Amino acid sequence: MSDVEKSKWTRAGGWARDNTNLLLLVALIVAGALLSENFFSWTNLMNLMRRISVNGVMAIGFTMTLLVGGFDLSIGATLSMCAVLCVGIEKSSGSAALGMAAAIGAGLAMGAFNGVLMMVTRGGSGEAFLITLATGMVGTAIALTYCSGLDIYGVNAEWYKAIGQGNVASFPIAAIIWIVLMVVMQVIIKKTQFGRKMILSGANKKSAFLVGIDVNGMKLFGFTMAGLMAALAAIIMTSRTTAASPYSGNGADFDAAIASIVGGNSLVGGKGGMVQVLIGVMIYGLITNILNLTGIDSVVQYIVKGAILLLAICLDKLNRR
Amino acid sequence: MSGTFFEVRDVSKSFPGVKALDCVSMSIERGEVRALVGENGAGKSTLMKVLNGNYKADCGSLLIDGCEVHISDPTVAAQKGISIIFQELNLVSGLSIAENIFAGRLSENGKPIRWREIRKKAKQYLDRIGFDIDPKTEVGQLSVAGKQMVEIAKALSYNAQLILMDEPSASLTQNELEKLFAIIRDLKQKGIAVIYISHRLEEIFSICDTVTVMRDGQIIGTSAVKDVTKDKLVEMMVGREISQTFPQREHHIQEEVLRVENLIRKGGKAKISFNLHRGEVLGIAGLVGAGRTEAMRALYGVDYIAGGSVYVNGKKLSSSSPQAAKEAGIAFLTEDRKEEGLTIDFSIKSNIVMAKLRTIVKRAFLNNAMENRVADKYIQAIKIKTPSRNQKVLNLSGGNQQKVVVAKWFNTDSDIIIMDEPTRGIDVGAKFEIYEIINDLVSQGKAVIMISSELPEILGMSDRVLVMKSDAIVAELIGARINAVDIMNYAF
Repeated sequence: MSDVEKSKWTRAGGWARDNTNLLLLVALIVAGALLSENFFSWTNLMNLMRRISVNGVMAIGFTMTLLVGGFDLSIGATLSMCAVLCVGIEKSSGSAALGMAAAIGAGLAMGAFNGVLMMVTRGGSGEAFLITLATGMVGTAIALTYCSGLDIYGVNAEWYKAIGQGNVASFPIAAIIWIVLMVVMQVIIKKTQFGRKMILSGANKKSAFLVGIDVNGMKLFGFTMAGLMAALAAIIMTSRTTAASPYSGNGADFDAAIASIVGGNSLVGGKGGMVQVLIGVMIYGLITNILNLTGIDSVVQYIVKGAILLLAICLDKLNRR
Repeated sequence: MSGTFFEVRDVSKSFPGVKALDCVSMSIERGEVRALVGENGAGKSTLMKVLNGNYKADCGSLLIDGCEVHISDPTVAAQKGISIIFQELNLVSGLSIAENIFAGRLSENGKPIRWREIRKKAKQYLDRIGFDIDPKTEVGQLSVAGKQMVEIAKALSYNAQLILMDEPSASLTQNELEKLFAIIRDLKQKGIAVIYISHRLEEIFSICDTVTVMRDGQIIGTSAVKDVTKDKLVEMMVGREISQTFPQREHHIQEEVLRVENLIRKGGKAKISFNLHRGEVLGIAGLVGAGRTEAMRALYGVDYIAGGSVYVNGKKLSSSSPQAAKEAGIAFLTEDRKEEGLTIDFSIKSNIVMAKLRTIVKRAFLNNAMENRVADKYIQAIKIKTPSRNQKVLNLSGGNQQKVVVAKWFNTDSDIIIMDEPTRGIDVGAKFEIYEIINDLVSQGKAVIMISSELPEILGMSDRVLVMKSDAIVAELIGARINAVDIMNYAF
């Protein structure tokens, strides 16, 4: 083999290593098409989009906390809490807008609370783990208390239902919301001074602090965004199911974490963005979709998902070398 | 005294790019207290680590009572009767005194630990140095002096015949120091030899019998303490030719740009006041641990301050934070490039623009073309050697990494540039370029504060020199008084 050819292959190898996530996504799409003839049908694809958008919005929030050098395990609890508040308040007050406002307020409060705790402890990932584990318990408890542990059925306003069920030109509104949120976040992260400062503070808080970046403020912002995204995800989820369970967020934090990390967002902070969220959420959704299409038991699905997360973490570590 | 007990013969040790020890020979007698002195980087600590088995010498031999010994690691050293007490003490603070003294040999061959006996033996060793304390006490509760006592007791428990002390006095109060001296005299009585490293020459005159001076990895001389003076020691320490060259510059010192009044960091021992002028390079000399870096960190607002104020162009800084300092026009190139100066796995260009993102903003958004232009401007201006502006700084050499840090601060157009060890760990060619950059800055009317532990650099670059010692500015030198002997006299 000539040197030119060799270097071409090395470069291709390097590209493949840097884009493992994209290759995995393509492989899954091919696998889906081979396994099921319905895979490429518009209905299946749009159903898929609708289904992944809740996790997609959650993954945006989780990624924001990764970018500022932490992570958030409480977003599942926040999702449950916001869901029961949103549906419950709509039911009791008759106003969907009031319910949503309450959910968004609660989500922001929960996120900001995590952010403040991170500021106070000057925490990194270790503190984030414990802090959000604890606040997650609080969130779950609030959800359970509010609805006395029972599911709340409701969602009456048509426009509320449309968020999760409706389409614009046969494209699900939920997916549009998800994509718009990703675009907005991506612009903030990549194209504004604020976003660049956020990423710098996540990548190396010492050097960021020394150039006068408000590292703590960035942490507060990242975690508050995670709370807000959980609230928005709760609104989309409840509008689809027209009900809220205090357990609906169980495991949702892990789904978001897996999607975010599988997509290529790094655990070390400051590296990643919404392209990775898009790829990760699609990979994760496709895996679920394929496992369902092929009729694999849901218990086995957990094994597969767990294995994927472990693989993604190992790849992240190897790529950092 | 009873003839040579321990001998070092022709020991050399190299690290990549540095000859840390160059054919060092010395011998020491039983009951002798030997001082080992020298500038930063003279090779004292390296020698200690070779004796202790932490480093393996490239060549040369060690002899105890005339027999060659091979010390492959600290455990072997301890068995041969050599113990070292490091400046940063090697104790486990969560464990008791007794456990620390007998760490690693609490029981033999997996037999159950006999706590009562361990404590009794620990108590005996503590008694021998007159340290009256319950061996069950947790080490974390002891003062630095107390921990040092435990280290000495531990050395005795290994039946040490030679105890190496690396700057034992650095964090002791006068009272504690007296106690340490009493213990050393007692060790001497028992025939134990001590090698005592200290930057405080006064101590050497009060406790040591003999003194060995090291410089650039070599032993310059050994003599009885009673035969030398402090001046003589300093002369031996610094007496070298300055082989490095420094770029010439014209001196145009203008009006005052920075004034520091009674600044004291939290936990600091002294207040500092000084000023700085446009067109001036202010060198800050002193020994490692003299509080130079800490003073600058307090000035820039990185560490908390306990009082004092900073004026830039006559205006007082609103608060003590990097944000306020940077806005006022101060740049701070830290000693620790990798951790504090750079975002190591980001590209060159994002590192260059990070301190002033405003320079790449167009209509409220970051502009990629502007970012590239800014990066290219500095890559060319200060000759950063790289195939691409998108290269991660991780992949650059030390000198080029330092240039990226310089570029980052150039982009803020600050009037005052604080450089902490600007040429540490970079090669000679890149050093010269950094000096040229400094000259260039002052010729533009900016002001530079340069902390350096390399005397030639201080001598070659500074218009004025402040010497620091124990957190205080002990001397301000200008003109002909900027010379090695004067600086070292104040620094020690």
